[in-house]
Amino acid sequence: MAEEVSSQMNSLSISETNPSSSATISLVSGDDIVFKVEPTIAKEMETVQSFIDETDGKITTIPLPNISSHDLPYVIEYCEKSIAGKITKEFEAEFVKKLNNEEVKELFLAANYLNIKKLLDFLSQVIADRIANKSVEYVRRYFGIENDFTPEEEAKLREELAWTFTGVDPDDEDEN
Amino acid sequence: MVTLPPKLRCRRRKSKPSPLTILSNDLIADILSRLTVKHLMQMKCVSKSWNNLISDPIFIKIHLHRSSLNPQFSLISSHNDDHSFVPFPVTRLWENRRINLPRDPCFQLHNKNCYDVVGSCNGLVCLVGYSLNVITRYKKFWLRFWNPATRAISQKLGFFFYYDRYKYEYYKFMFGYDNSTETYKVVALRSVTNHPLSETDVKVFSLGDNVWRTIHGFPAIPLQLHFGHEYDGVHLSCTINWMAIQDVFGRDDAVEQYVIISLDLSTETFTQLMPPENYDNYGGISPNICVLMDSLCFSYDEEAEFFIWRMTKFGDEKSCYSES
Repeated sequence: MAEEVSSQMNSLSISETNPSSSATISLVSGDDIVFKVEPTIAKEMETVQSFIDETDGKITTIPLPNISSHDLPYVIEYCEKSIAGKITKEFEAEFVKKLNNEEVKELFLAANYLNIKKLLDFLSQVIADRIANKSVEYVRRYFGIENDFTPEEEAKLREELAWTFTGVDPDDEDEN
Repeated sequence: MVTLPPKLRCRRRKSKPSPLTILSNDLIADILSRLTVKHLMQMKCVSKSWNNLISDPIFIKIHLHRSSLNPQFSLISSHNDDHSFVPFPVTRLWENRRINLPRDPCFQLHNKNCYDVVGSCNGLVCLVGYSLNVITRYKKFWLRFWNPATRAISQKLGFFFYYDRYKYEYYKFMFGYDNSTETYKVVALRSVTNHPLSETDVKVFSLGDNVWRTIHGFPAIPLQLHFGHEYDGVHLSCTINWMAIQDVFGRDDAVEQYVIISLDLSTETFTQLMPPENYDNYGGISPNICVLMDSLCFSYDEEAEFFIWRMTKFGDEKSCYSES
C-alpha cells in the first residue's frame, strides 16, 4: 500500500521550475513550490477553474498563497482519484489514516479555499467522526477554542444539559 | 521532483510548533451539523459562540436536513396502560432484529399528562391529552409539542371542550406541516359512526398563533374506526388524506364509492381524489391508504391477495397510479 501511495505521489510530476506549457496548469503553493497538473484536475478545483476562465485560459500559472506544498499533493491526489471515479470507502479510509488532526483541518481549509465540494464534504465528515462523542474539553483543544463562559455560566449550562453528559468517550491523547 | 519523504515532513512539523488551524464559523457549522443531537446539546458548553450557533434557527434547519438522510423509526409501546414513544435509527433494525426498548421515563407519556401520540414531523412529536368531567360529560383536550432528541416540550396548548354525549362520537387528530408558511398544524376530525346525516367536523390548529379554526364542507364521510389507527388520515407533502365514502345516502341505486379526501394544509381546502381506475370494490372490503417512498398508496386486501397502487405524482389521480 505504501508503495502504491508513493508511486502516486511521483506521478504528480512536481517541478520547481515553471516551463510554460499550454497543456498543463501550474499551481504555486504558498511556499513557492510549483505543481504541474492536467487541466482536468484544475476543473475539480472550482476556484482555479474560474480563475482560468476569467482570463480566457491565457494564464495557466495560478498562485495559491493559502495552501502549503505539504497539503497540495494530498488535494491533487484526491482530485485525481475523483476524476478516475475511484473514490471508494477503502481509498478514503487510507487517505485519512495518514493525516493527523492538524493536517485534516489544514486540508479542510484548502478544500474550502479551492471549492472542491466532494473533498470538503468528506473532510467535514472526517472531523465530525473524530470529535463524535468526545468531551467538551477535548473539542475545545481540538479546535483551539477559548472557553469564554464564566465558571458560574458554564456550571448552570452543564446542569441544564446534565442528561447529555452520559456515555462520553474518554479523551484520547491529543495528537496535534 | 520535490516529494517530501514522510519522515522529513514529520520532523519539519515538529520543529515548527505552528498555531492551531482556526476554522471559520461556516465550516464549524458544517461539521457540527453532522453530530447527533445529544452530543450537539453538550457542545453548547464549548463556548458562547458555539452555544449561539447550535441554537440558531438556520443551523437547526441544516442539521434537520442532514438528519433526514438517516431515517428514524418511532415505536409506541404500551406497558400497564402507560404509552412510551421511543425513537431509534432504522439502521439498528438491520443490525439486530431484536429490540430492547429502554424503559426511560423521558420517553413515557403519562408524566407529560398526555395519553397518545398524534404524529411526528421533522423530529417534532405532537401529543394529545384529555380530562373528562364525569358529571357534566364535558371532555377537555389539549396538545403538547415535544422534541424527544432535545427533550424540550411545550406547555399544554390548544385547549378545547367538547360535550361527550354520544358513545360513538369521537375526535381523531393528525399532525402535519405547512411548507408555505413553515407552520406545524394539527387537524382534529370528528365524525359520528353509523350516523349518515351528521356533518363531519374538521378543525385546524396552527402552532404559532395557537388558535383552532373550523373548516367546513368535508365532501364525504370519512372511513374511521373508533379504536385503533387503521383509517386515520395520512400526512404527505403538506396535505392530510383520509379514505372516505362518497355521500350517496338517500339514493336507492347507490353503490358505495370510495374516495380519498385530501386537505391542503396551506390553503386549508379539501380536494377529492378517485381510487385507481382498475380498482373495483367487489367483496365489500374497505380499501386503505398509506404513504410509502414519499408517495400516496392505495391498497386493499382480498382474502389471499393484497393489491397496492402507488400515486407517482401526488394529486394526479387519473394517469399516474402505477399498479404493483
